[in-house]
Amino acid sequence: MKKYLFFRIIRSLVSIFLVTTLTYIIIYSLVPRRDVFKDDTMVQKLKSEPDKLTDYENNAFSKMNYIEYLDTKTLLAKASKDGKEVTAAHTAENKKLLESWAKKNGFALKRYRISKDYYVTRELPIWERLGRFYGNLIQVDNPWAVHDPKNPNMKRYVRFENDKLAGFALVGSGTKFKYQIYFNSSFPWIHQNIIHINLGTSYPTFAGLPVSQVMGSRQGQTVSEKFTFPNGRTLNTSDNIYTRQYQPTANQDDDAKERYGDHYTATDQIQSDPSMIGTSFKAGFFALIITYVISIPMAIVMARFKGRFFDRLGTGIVTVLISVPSLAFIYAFRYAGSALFGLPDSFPTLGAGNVNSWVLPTFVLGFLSVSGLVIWFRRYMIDQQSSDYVKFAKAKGLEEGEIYSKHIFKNASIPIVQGIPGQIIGLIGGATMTETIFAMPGMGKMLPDSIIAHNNPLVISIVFIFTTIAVFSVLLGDILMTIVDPRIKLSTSGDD
Amino acid sequence: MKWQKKGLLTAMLVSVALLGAACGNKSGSTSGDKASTEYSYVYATDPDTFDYTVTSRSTNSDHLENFVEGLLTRNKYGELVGGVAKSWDVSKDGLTYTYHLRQNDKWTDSEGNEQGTVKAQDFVTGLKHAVDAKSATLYVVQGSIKGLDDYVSGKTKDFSKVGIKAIDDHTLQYTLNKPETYWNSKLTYGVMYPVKASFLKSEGKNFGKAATNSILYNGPYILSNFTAKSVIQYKANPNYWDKKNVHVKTVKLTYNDGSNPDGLYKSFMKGDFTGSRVYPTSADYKNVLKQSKDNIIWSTQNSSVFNFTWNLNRGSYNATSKKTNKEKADTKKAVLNRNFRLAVQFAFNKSSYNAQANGEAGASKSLRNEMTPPDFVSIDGQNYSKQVEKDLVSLDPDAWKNINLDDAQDGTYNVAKAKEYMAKAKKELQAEGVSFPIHLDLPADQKSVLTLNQSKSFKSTVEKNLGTDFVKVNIQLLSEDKYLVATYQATSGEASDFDISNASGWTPDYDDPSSYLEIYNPSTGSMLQTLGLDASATVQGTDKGAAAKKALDFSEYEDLLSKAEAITSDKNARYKAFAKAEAWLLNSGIQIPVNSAGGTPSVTKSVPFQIPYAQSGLASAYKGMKIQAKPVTTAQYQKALKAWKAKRAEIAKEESSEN
Repeated sequence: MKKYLFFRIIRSLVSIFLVTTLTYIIIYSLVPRRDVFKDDTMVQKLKSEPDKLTDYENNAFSKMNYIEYLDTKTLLAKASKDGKEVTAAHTAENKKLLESWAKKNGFALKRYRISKDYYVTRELPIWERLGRFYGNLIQVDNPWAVHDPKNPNMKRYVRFENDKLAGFALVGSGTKFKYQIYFNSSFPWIHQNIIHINLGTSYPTFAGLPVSQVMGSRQGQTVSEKFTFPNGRTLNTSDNIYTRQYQPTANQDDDAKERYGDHYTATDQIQSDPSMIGTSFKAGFFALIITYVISIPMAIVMARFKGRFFDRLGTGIVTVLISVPSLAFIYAFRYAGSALFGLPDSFPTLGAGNVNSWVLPTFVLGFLSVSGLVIWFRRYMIDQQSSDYVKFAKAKGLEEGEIYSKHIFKNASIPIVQGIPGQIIGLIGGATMTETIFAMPGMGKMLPDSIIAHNNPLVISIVFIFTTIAVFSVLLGDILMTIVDPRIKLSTSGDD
Repeated sequence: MKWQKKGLLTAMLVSVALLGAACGNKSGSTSGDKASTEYSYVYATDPDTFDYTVTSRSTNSDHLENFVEGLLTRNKYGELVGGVAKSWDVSKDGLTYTYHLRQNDKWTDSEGNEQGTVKAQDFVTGLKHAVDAKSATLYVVQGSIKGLDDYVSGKTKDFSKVGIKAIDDHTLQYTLNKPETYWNSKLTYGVMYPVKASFLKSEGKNFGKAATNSILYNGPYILSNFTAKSVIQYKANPNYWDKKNVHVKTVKLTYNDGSNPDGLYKSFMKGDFTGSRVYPTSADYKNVLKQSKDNIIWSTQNSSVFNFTWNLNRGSYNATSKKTNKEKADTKKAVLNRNFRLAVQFAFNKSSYNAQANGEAGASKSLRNEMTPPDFVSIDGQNYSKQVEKDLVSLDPDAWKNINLDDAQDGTYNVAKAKEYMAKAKKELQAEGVSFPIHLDLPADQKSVLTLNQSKSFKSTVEKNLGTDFVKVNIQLLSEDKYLVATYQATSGEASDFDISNASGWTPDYDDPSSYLEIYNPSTGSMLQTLGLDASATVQGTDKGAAAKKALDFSEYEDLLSKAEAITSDKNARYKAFAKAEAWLLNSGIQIPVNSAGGTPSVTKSVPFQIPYAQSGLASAYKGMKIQAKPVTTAQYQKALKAWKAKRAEIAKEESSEN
């Protein structure tokens, strides 16, 4: 079993890798690049100045990881580093120097149309982009992570301390984060800052923000309160002290340094609402419970009283639900919810802090998969009713209820468990629609949005996250199955 | 049996309990007090950066203009008034501008903590940062400030050579290359806003990223919440120098993707929104008329202009209905014939075109008849358009007798005149061997219902009034991608793939007619490719449009422009000279101004004409706003509009007499 699990996880990782790589290839080689400027009015304004337009376009491409681009200024600075000073003058000597530099570093030397100044570009090959993505994916913090030339005598250690701000914690110096492991009252009470996932930088939407922060950091109104710093100063602040990170001397704000007493002054803010991932998970988790709580009992009752009134009514409802397109269903349910119960039809009306905001999106998300599950599970139960072991139990004289609870339901729990991964994957699809319609700040709707915005890093990250969730929920489903039914063995016996 | 029942019952109880919890605590009823200090509405596009010195997108600056204030800002009549600057002097030669800064203009962080005073040095830091960060709006000032262009292109590496100097903490001086009477209006752009050096240093690359704490605030509002695709909230800045004029204390904008426009009005009626756009072309509009008949107000037109342009030198024929080379040649000759162009212009019913967007009720509300808006500047206290009218009549009395260039009416639709010019064009063109009908390709995006309907409207009025034996408009249905390549994204004049197109629009960069008129300057214009031409100063190799430019005597227009640009001291004389150029442009008929943005109906509780009014540049959308308990009535709005217009006219008169 252990061996099987090991190889299974390896295979899961390989499939995640393949999906992500394929997405990478599709995005960077098949989607036309000039789409980036589709709604960009700047292109129009700069038409009369072709040099600036060239600069503008190349900048955008380089920020989106298509090419590497050095304008005249940066190019001259870089080329001059190799010994001989290169100037902006269009002399044969300068040209030669630039050409040799470009050749050495794999760039193509080009000239602006009007000024005739030089600039260089380099197409990023797909393998290099992929290498960067996977190479930077997991970052482990360590006491040698920070190199600040202006702070050469920094101590490098990781040790347990009773910190003034964070209490008892594993505190680092020379590390990127000050608090490597810390404890506080929020779930799950022990937190770490050692391992971080880096999914690249978002552009053009959320320009400059790390993708992991876009998806994973909390959102909403900042929660600021009066706080007294170690130096005794009291300020309105929403600094999340547990996220204190090293700020290089060159960027150090004296004021902040004085407040905290050391170089670890860069902090995130405390915010009121869950992150995109958190929002989607919260809604998804409860939606999953709603789906099962409604459909399993419904299917059992329908199977039990097959052909009678409740069964026919249920079949009718389910058939209607299946035939109505999901989009229409969402709008209809949203309308009903706000008209009958006075629930907000848009998430931000009351905000994430209010339970009522969550009700409609979560129920809609749950209901979306009810019909499929009911039909499938009812049929399964009916199937079981006519199986040999049920007939045998009947012949033995067992009561109907006993047969159901002790025999059929036990057998049925296996497919219930096995269906969970499928449901989770279905929830992702449902979330893209419900989150858009309810203006809910989750990650589901980010996928279509980032595709439209040509935010390549974000598209890849979301695909990566969705694939990981899907692949591992299938794995989890299989493992759960062996727990529910010990007869099932995932590994083949003998030598495999 | 028993157990089973119990299990089922529990399951049902749980779901009922969940539902119950859901509907139990109804909260969120707004109290009356909150309603007058909170503004709430929708937004459609997330801002993608808060670096105000860099971004050119209105989806960003629509927010940023509320957070940061430059040296000057606008009042509700559109006048430039002191922002960070309390007063300013201009040197006699018009080249040096000195600004005296307020002592009490404070920086504030996103938590509301004061972070020092805004100093003159912060403006120097701001401009340097704009260059370093490759500002998209730098072009507005790059040619104006002395030495800036050299620094940007790398010719000098010393920023102290650039014509911006902090003389002391509260005195700032700009030196210009040449006098610009409209220089002050450029100060309202983000590129001219201040940046605090120590904050920029500590934020480094994080400065201006889309998060509340990535910038410092000195404007009327602070961003308190930005949750992507969900909600954007502001709160009033407690340290703003002019906070007594900030009446709306919180602003809440909820994400709305626009898929359900009628929902806006419903939310307004429910009390969720302070105002709502209404849509006369929607089926729900009858409910709006029933419930809010007296509250529908039509907004004023803004300074944007959308026009039809003729392709004077068509070079590509990927989207065409023409079958033979003869047809192509004939159309080319016809398009170069002024009488033909004017015939089409006079036959084109702009109102019915415009009605496609705003319904019959709003058909004429956003019409425009010249490039520069009629009251954009004034000459001797009169609207600029009056001068253009006079000049037009003197250029060609037959064509322009009694011409009216005012907004919100169709100044050129005249069937009799159209027929007259058709006869003239026919005679001239037949002499050149042209056969009729002339086929005109008009590209349309097949997915955009509005442009499609508008194109159909153009086709039907022109063909009806001139007859299909004279001209045929062939609408070319293109995919979005191909449409853009043929029009907006055409890389050169030659790539513009149409005979006539409505894919053209412009907003001014500063308060001077040149901001509109220079776009068609034959040597440097940035919109020439919409006329099928290229700017001769930037063209590679031979200018393919040279012949067409010559046929039009386009150099006359360039001469008129440079004459006007040369006048830098007397505003009246300068605008008069530009009016001449504008008259030339309209008289040539190479483009047909049609409409502007604005002129749209809505219902609102925001008292009309209280917020800053900006023809160009940025201005806060909420400073000075007052919210009343009941929706604004049409009568109230009309009264306020009249008073506002009168005040504007008075200001214009004063300004002219100062010259």
